[in-house]
Amino acid sequence: MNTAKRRARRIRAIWVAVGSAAVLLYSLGPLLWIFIASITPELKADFNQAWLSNRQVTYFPSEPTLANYGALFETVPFATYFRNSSIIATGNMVLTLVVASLGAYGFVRFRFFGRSSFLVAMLVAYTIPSVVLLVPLLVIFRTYGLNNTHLGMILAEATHSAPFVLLLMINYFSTLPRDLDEAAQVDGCSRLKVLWRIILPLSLPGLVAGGLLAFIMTWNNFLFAFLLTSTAEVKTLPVIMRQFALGEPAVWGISAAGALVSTLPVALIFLLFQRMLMSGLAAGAVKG
Amino acid sequence: MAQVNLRKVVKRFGDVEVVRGIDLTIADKEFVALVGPSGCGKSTTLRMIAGLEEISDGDILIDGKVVTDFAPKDRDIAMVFQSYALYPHMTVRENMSFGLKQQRMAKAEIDTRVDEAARILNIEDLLDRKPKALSGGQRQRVAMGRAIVRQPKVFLFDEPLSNLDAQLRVQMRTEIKRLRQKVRTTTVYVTHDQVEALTLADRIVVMNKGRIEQIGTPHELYHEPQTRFVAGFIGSPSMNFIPAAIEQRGDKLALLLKDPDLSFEIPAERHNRYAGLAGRSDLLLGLRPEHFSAAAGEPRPGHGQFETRIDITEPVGIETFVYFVLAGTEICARLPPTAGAQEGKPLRLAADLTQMHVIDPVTGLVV
Amino acid sequence: MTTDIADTGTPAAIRTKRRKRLDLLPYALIAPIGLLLAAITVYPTIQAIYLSMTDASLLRLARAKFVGLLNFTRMMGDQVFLDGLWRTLRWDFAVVSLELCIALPIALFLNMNFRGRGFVRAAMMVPYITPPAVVGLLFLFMFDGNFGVVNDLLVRFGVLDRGIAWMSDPVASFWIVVSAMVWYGTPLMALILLAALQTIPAELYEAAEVDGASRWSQFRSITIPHILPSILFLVLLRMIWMSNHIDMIFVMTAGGPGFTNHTEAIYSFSLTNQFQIGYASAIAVVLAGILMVFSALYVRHLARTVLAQTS
Repeated sequence: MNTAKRRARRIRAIWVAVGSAAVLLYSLGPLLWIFIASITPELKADFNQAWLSNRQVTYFPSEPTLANYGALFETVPFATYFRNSSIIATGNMVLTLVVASLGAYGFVRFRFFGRSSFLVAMLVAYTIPSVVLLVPLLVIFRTYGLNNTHLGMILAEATHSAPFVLLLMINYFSTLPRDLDEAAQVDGCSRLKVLWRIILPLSLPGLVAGGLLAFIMTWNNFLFAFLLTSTAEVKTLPVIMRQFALGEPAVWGISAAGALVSTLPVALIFLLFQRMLMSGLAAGAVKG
Repeated sequence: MAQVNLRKVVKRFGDVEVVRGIDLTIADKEFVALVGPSGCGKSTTLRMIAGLEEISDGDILIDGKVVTDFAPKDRDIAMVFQSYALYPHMTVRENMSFGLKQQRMAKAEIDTRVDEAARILNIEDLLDRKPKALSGGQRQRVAMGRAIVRQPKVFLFDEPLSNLDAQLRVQMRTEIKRLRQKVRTTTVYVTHDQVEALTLADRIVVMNKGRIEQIGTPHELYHEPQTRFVAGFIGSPSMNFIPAAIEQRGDKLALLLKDPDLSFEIPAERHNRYAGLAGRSDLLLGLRPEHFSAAAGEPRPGHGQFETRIDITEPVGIETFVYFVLAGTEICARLPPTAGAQEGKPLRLAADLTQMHVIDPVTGLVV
Repeated sequence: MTTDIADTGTPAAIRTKRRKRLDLLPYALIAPIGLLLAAITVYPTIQAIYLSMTDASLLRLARAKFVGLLNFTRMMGDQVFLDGLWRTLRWDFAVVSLELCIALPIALFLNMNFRGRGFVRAAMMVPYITPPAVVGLLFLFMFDGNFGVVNDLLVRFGVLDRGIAWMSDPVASFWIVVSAMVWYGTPLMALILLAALQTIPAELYEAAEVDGASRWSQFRSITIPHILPSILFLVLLRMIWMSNHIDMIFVMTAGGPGFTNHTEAIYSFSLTNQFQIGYASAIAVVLAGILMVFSALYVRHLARTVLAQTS
């Protein structure tokens, strides 16, 4: 029955093509749109006006331009915001990796009194809704002068990233056979050396996934950045989106350009490390 | 002097005593095997010697020093693990050098030792490979190499051959024996395979349920087991235990079996030993499969003859394992293929009673 | 060598009395993360509970007075608060059910084996990687009254005469924010559903094929039962997270128009922005209390799984 099989296969191929196209359009369409907007010259944004005048929606600009990108850096302190995002995200990544690795090693490889209580405490801290933390963090930060500092932001962001990466590393470390530890101990390593020379090198994929996910989580976070910073010196990129949304600067192209540039780093990281990141995400349910 | 002493060593997990008071002295350069069934505590004992398991009670001494509270790295020991535990991210050479690097040894000396060990174990051309590119036997040798370069006071082996297939196991056993000829160090070797223990060890420690049943040379354990457990554990196929009674008949002692009713004269040299059991009918006769033979003509001195019907035969080439029922128990006998054993057919057999053992079920001891 | 077990000839070493040596290392290892989280999670929570019982305001923090349960009684009479409960539920249900409706077909689709699947799957994840604030902006842009592509398409295809100012209309703005969140959240759902689908052994389907079951009944009796636990769990989690969510809603609407988009979390947040932190805390505490009850299920499940895996 060759023809029947070939027909079935062709139908399947059509389904695949249609499905793929749908998924791609759904997932990438809006971003494509914004990309086009960013290279379109001079579209003024005007949300707050209920009445409408000329619609100037162009699907492909006749004269694509990169002027918006240039203007972006002039009209808003974009470079500063970008720098802040980078510093805070990187700092959080490093902090998270360090504390999570140490904690995961202690939890997985040692039997100690209070071990399961520790785990439960970490999970409870992980699930405390951030709503309830907003006000006190604000107050505490002001009291201790952590307001408007990179360090403060790095610490605050750890509420999300640290427990998540801890769980990820616990999961990862527990897959390494215990007798590697023991062989290293017999070979002369103290328990900390075992962590440094054996466990961590063998956990590199997990560390990369955890670190990058922490980076992305922090880079994308709006709430704490908005709440805990008030000067451009420390504000991060997502905060600018709010500003754009309120219609300033009043040029769509610039907002679009800003949105794209804000997304570019995390998109790049994701593209480079997809497999690792996707399995990391699926492994531990991520906080929205 | 790398003597190892265990004094009343106990290991508890919660309320459960897994090792219940072990006393053991291993002489310098002696090869001692710890054998026993799963869960008998042999691995736990080894790990306590290594320092990988905390000791609940008692002391361990290595070379005269109390090492009970020492970390593994301070005990001057090396260990070969069941799963080899080779560091996956390092080459063979790096695996073998790792321990020495931790001791801050000079690179030149490390290289010398590694090359020497590699030569002894025939793994010279594997030095730059990573563990995942090695076969099971090769990995085992690298694991041994890692232990040798340390030149420790004690070698500890934790069931090193259990992960290998049967053929490879026999091969590696010979390798270990050959290694022993070249490198003589105090060794403690844990295995559940008694053949390994019998072939490799100077002395064997038989453990059961956390206690030592008996310590002795392979010869002693085979010929003079002290408990029923040891008698049944050592020897493959294992010893047959047949319900029997002993009766005084004049100035001779008779061994009585039921079903069919048989009576044998106990050899004279055993009279003294068994005289005190006369009149008991709840005893067990222990006789190894290799101490049966096909009967021909008149019984030899010390042998008892009987007729039985063969149930199953298992020809294994050089001999045939023959199964039959006596006194309600299934008995295994090792006969030459020429004995004429056929399933379902009767056969006349002789039992070598000079090799017999009598076990008192009440005490579990061999009399 | 005899079989005598007693030790002979060993040096006279002192028999040490076995005392439990307390190993401090594990505590040192868990201390950093423990202290960090205590400082940024536990301590603030306690602070929040305390603040919720004061009339604190950011403007005159030092002069906050303890007012007991006043904030809570005020809540009971606060229409915005009471509506907020309903609005939160409405928001949760809308987002999660839409996400599920879109994510499940996507997951089923990606479960098939075809060339380029990796690429499509990676592309599918893109919305989740995008910063939520950017997503908010994106959808604002698409639905813009003047320059929104949606309006433009609708007009071009003759559905409308002129574009509508979507975000000014309460109902429309709600659904637009929902759409934005759904677009953002579907990839995660799809990813987890896909993982669940891939744990179903192929033999089950093969056996059903041999038995003559149709695709639909295979789906109903093999696929659904297998992934139902994952779906339920996922739904529970997403609803908890959505109840807690602020970012996207705020960026797009700041809670408006009017109070349309004032979920409980948004209400607390906007109160904070208006400096009424005592009252804001009270609302947040109540919201958190309710959510933690449901989270407890999650915590218990996760704790059991992790403990089993690491013992």
